[in-house]
Amino acid sequence: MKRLLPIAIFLGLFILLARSLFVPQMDLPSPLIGKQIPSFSLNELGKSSTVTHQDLLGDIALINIWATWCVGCEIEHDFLVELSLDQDLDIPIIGINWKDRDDLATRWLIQKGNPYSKILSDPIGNTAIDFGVYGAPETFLIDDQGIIHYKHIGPMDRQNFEQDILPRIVALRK
Amino acid sequence: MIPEIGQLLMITALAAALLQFLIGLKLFTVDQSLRMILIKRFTLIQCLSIFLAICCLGYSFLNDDFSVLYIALNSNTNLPVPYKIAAIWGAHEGSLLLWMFLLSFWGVTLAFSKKFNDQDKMLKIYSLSILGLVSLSFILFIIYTSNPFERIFPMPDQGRGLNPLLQDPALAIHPPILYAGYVGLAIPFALALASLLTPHSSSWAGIARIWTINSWLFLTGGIALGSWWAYYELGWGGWWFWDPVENASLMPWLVATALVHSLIVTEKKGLFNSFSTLLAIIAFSLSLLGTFLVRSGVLISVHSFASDPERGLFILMLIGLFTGGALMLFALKQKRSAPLKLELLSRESLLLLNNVFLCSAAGLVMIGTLYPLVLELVNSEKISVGPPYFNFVILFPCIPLLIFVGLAMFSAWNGKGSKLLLRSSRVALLSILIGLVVSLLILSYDTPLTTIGLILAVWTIITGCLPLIRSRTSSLVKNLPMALAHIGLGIMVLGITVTSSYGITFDDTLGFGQSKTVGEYEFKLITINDRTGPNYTAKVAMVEIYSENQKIGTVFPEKRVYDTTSPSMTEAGIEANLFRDLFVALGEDLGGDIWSMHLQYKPLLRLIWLGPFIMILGGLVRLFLLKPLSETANS
Repeated sequence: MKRLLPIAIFLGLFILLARSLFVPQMDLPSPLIGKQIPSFSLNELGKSSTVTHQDLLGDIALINIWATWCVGCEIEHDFLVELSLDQDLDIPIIGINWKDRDDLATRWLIQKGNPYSKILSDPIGNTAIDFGVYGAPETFLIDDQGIIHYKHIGPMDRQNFEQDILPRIVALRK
Repeated sequence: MIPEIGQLLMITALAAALLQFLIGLKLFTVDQSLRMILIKRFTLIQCLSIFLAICCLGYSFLNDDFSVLYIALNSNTNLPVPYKIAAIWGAHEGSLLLWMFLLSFWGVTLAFSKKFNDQDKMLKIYSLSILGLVSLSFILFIIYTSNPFERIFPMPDQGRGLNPLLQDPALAIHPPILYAGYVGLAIPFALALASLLTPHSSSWAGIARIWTINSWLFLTGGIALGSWWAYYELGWGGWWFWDPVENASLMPWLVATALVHSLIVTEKKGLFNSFSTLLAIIAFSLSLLGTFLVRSGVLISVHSFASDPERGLFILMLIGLFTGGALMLFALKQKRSAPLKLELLSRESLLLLNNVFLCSAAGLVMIGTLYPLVLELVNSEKISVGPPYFNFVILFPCIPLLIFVGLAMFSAWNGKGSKLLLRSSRVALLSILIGLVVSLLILSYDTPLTTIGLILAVWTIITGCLPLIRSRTSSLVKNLPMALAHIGLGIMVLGITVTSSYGITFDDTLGFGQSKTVGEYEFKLITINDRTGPNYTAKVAMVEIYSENQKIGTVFPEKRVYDTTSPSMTEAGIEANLFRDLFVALGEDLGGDIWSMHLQYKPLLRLIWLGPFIMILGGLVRLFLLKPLSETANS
C-alpha cells in the first residue's frame, strides 16, 4: 500500500494539470459575481493621489486588469480605445495596471492611446489577488453600487463585448 | 536546402533513438556485448544528428534565411552575430532542440563512461534504453508541435528580431546552462529505473551521484545567472521574484540537492535505496513539470513565453508516461528493505532529516506555484500567489534545515546523539554569540528573524570550515567539496539576511544637478545623453555617487529602445563591491530635464551570488579533483 502512495499523489497532480489545461476554454463564473468589489487603496498611475474602492461607486463601469508585459492586453488595447470613444455607450473604463512598472505603463499609454478614465497601479498584485485575477487581461463589469455583474477572461473584442457584456450594461441601465 | 537537411537529421535522430530504445529491450536474442556496442553507437548517432541539426539552424540564422519561420520570428539582419547564435535557443522551438541536444549529449557521456563494472553491463544497457525512450518522445514532440525548420511562404524581407530582453550576454548563456542542469537529471532517473530492473546491481547510486552533481552544478549556475540577470536587466533591482518560471528551476534544484545527499548514504551504507530511487524519479519529473508550466501557459508569468495548449497537452502526456510509468515500476519492483533502525542523531538520520526538509521546501514552492490551479478546481476561483506567501512559508523548512546542516558536520555514521550534542555545543554557542554581537552591536537591531538569520549563517559557515580545520592534509581534498558547498550556503544565507533586512530603496524624481541621499550615500544626476547602439537607441544618464562628500564612482544607467519592438529596456547602473551594491535604474522622462529614478543601497548583495559560486567550486572539486584520487585509491 505504501508503495502506491507516490503514484496516488502523482495521479492527483496529473488530473489537476490536465484539467487546468482545458479550463481557459471553459466559461467559469467568478465567485465574486453578485458581490461587492473588494476593498483597496491604490495609487493612481503617475500621480501621488490614492483611489479606494469607494471612489469607483456611482457609475456603471468596466474594470480592466492589464499590463505592458501581457500579449493579450496588446491585442485588446485598440478595442478598448474604440470603446472609450463611443459617445452613445459612454461607459467609463477603469484600468488596474497589474504587476507592472509605472514608467513602462505610461509610455504604453502615450504610444497606444489611453482608453481609461482612471488608472490604478497595483505593482505587487495584492489587489488583483483580491479580485481573483488569474491572468491579464481580465475585465469586470460593475454597477453603480460596486456589485460585480460579469467577468470576462482574456482579450475583449467587438464580438464578445456585444454578445456578453453589452446586453448586461443595457439591462443595468434600465 | 540547409533547413531540409536539418529536418532529415531530426528524422535520423528519431530513428537512432528508437533503435537505442528497442535494443535495450529483450526483444531480440542478441549477445550482450553486441547489444552494448550497438546501443553505444546509436546513442552517439542520435547525439551527432541533433548536433548537426543545430548547426544547420545556426547556419540559416547566420545567413538570415527568413524563409524559415523560426528565424523570421527571432532574428533580423541588424542583430549582432553572437546574438544570432544565441537566438538559436531564444524561443520555444530552438530551445527544445537545445534541450534535446543536451539530453543526447549526457546520454553519450553515460554510454562511454568507465564507471560501470562488469556486473553492471545490464544496468548501463537498460539506462541507455530508457534514455532512448525519453529522446524518442522529445524528438517526436519537436517534429510534431515545435518544428524549428518550418518554412513560411512568402518569405518576409526582414525578420522580427530577437526579444530585446534576451539580448544580453548573461541571458544568452543562461538557457543552455540551466537546460543542461534540467536534462542532466534524466541520467539519475534512467539509472534509478534501470536499477529497479536489475535487482542484483548495487552500484547505481555511485554512478548516479556523479551525474546528479553534474546537473546540480549546472542548475546552481543557471539559477544564479538568471537571478543576476534579473537584477541588473529587469530594472526592479530585486534578485528573486518567485515567478513560476523561477520556481520551476528551484524545485528540481532542491530535490537534486536532496538526491545528492541521499545517494551518499545509498552508496556508502546501502541505506535509503528506495528514497534515492524515488528522489531521482521526482527530480526528473520536476524538470518535466517545469517545462510544462513554462510552455503550456497554464500559469501566467512575467516571462510570458509563447504558449500553446497543444504543446501543453503533449508535455503532459510525456509527464504521464515517464513519471506515471516510473512510479508504477517503483511500486512493482522496489525491493522490500528491512525496517530501518537509525540512531537518532547519527549522520544517516541527519541526512535523512535534511532531505525531508529540502523536499518540503520543494513541496511548498510547488504548492505556491500550483495553488492557483488547485483553488480553481475547488471553487473555480482564479487567483495568483505572490512573494509574501513564498517568503513566509519557505522559512519553515529552511530554518531547521540550516540548524541540521551544521549539526550533521559533527555527526558520525551510526553515531550516538549524546556525543554529537557535546561536540557541537561550543561551536553553537560561539555562533550565537557572534550572531548576537553582529546584529545588536555592529548593525542596528532589526527583527528577531534577522538575528536568527545571522546566527544561522555564522553557524553554517563555521561548521562548513570544520572538516578543513580538523582533517589531516591527506583527507583535506576529500572534505573540500562538502566544506565549500556548505560554506557557500552559509555565505548566501548571510547575503540574503543582510540585504533583505538592511537594504534601502527609493523611487524619486531628479533634475539635472539634483541629488538624493540613500542611507550614507548621495546620488547626483549630472546629465542625460543620447546614444546609438548597433540595433537600439538609448538614453544614458550620468549619475555620480558620493559618500561623506567623497566621490566614489560614476554610473551610467541606460534606457534602450530597440528598433523592432516597442517596450524599452533598462540597463541599470551599478557601483558595487563585495560589501554593498549601489543601484540606479533610469525611469521615465517627466519633461524639463526631470527624470524618475529607482535608487537602492543593498549591503552584502554580492554574497547571494558569491555563495552559489563557492558551491559550484565545491562541485567542480568533487568531479575533477577527487576522481583521480579515488581511482588511485582503488588500484
